[in-house]
Amino acid sequence: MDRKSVMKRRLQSIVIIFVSMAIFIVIWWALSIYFDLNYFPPPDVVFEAFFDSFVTPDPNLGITMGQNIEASFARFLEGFALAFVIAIPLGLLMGFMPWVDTFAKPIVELIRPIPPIAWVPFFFVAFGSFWNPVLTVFIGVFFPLLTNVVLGVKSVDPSLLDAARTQGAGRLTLFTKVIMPFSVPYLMTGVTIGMGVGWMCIVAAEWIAAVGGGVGYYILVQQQVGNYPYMFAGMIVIAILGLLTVTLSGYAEKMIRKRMGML
Amino acid sequence: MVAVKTDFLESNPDLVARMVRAHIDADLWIIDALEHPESANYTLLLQMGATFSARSTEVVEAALEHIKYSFELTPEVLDGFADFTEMFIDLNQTSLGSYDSIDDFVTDFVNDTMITAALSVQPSDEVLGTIDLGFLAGDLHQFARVVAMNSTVGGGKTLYETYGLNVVAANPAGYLNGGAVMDAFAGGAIDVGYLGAPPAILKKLNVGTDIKVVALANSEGSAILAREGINSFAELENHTVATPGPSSIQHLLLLFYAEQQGFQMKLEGT
Amino acid sequence: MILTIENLIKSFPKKEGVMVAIQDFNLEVKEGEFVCILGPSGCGKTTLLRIIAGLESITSGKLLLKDKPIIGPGSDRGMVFQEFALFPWRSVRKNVEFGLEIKKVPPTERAAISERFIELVGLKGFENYHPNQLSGGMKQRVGIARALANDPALLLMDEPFGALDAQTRNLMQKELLRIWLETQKTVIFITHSVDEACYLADRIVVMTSRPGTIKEIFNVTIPRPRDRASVEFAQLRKTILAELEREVVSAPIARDNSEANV
Repeated sequence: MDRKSVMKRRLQSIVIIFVSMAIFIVIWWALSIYFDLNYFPPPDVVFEAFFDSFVTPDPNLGITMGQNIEASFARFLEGFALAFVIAIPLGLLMGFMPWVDTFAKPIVELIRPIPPIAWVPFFFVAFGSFWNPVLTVFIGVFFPLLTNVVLGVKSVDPSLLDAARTQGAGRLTLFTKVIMPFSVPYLMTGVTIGMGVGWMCIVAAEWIAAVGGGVGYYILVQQQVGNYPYMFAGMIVIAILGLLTVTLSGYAEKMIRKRMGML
Repeated sequence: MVAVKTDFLESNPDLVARMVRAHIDADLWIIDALEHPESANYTLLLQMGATFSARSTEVVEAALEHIKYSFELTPEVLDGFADFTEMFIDLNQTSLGSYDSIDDFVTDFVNDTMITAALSVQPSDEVLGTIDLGFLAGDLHQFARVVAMNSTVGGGKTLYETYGLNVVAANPAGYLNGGAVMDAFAGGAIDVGYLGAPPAILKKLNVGTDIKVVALANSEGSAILAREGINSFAELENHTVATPGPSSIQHLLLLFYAEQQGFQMKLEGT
Repeated sequence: MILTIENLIKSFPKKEGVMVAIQDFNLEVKEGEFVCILGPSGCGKTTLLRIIAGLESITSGKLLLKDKPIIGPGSDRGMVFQEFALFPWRSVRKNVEFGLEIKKVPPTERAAISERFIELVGLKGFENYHPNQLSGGMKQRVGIARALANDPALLLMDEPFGALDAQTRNLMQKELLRIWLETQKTVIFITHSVDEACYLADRIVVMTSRPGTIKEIFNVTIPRPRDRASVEFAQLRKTILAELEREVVSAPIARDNSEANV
């Protein structure tokens, strides 16, 4: 009975999603026909452009959408990796050692409120067109990662630490065998948040300059030459990429929590 | 070049003619100042350029050596427009759509009657109309506009005011590129705009934004800058060249020149 | 004597002055004894256990384990917690092996030891389960196995069955006795249940309210397994309860949050 009702509920949600998407497209269609503006193409034109962009290399850029995605994705991963490598050790230390926290906190809190997008002009001038998008993603992902790692460390149940001590754990062992594993689910939450932010950063960064293409840059170029159906196609690509990465990351988070039998 | 929204042109031909007149006067003033580097006008020219482009007068001076200011829509210019259109079509960046031929398009693209009309325009103390104007940020190609808007040149009032025009800058800081100016036309924010021909051609064909070129602003003025150590175009082989974007005139010129020199430009996403 | 406590004083600094949690505490524990420490809330019994475990320092006095002073925590004093404190990301087996990993015991030996204790506490077959798949009673069995795997000199238990329901609690008490008889460990068991202390202990140490000191020590000679319905059991319980009640009534009413653990 339970299994059946779960399946039923799931089926219902899928149907509802389809219906809502269908309504969305119908409204889009109606509006675009009503307003008849060349920068607001109807869904069928956009979808055609969407599929075409993957097949035909764009005349303005010389590459297909697939290649643009590759370029953006590479920068995304690089920025993410950089954030990982710095935020995790720093976050672990900040949570574990109070003086590191006191030392780093003012700098972190000063830089955090600056939207990653605002860094783009500086990064471009100072570090060039390769590092600009990478660093912008880095800045966007770094803060959620750091915050969540620190939170993870500070949330460790003190009785776990006590238990570990009575098992003979020294300071280092506490760090590696208790605090680090405990923080992993928190880290994953940070990753999921970071994924969403990262894509926004990519688009903004690529708008100043992009060598080798990129989805953000693609959108800008289509606007510049007036290819509005393709511009929308680019936006859809970003929406899909963003959705995919966030969902995958959320799924990975769930799997990890399950495997670790945690929270 | 100087472009006008077609329906504005059709309903306000007199205002447009006055606008063009002010533009021509400004162009002639610039050409004269450049021919007399000792004159006070020349100094004023450099100063204006420095203020408006946020560069030093030395830089402005160097730049001016490479820009040719003119206003006439000569057959040569029209051929140039045709060449640009052809290149865009070859590259698949646009298509003729409902036009029968490139010449057909260029004829529709250009309206040279305004230049003629401008010559018989008289100054007016009364304000005869308002024009919303768009232009590019920091672009010395469009110096004529700066001059036309300067009160010292006009002897106390701007050249626009002399001809009875109230010219309002729709975006005082200037638009970022020609595509944006075309968008401003499409959105009704501007009636007249200074922009390059290539983005205008692209968007007129791709989007259908209806404008007409009524005067030229400059005919030369783009350059390729290379890092120290590279002294000829041929040495750029296997290097990467950056342009303001695939809709800009520099991009097109680069493609033209490369082809002429026997090189092939490879577009790799930029 | 395996454990010697002499003139132990423990005080905590407060905003104004100090708060004395434990004072003039003297106790000697024989090897293999089952000692219960009983007292009203806030009397300092948990603090005392934590001091023996090395998780808290002493303010003054002597604290010796096998005639050597206790300086910090270690696996020679295994501890079992009321909230279980199992590592949720580790399986039952890995939890039990935790201390052995720290001591760098080789894997095959580790597996043999952990298997032995998992079986001893009655969890054979559950080695690969994670704590969140276990009931309260089972979790505590893991806690006990984990502490015992290090072959500690003392087994310290801080109200280990307080979070369990009544039936499971009774069952676990029996199980604990079985395990104790088999391993012959010295157990120091904190509780505020008179019934539990009577059922389990060789000696019951009744503490006063704060500042905690020893009020009375009772030797329990009733042979095990003890029958709760028997006359001697009822008598013992009555006596101790009375002793405790006198303490509870005179306990200070006002208490601030930071002393909750005492």
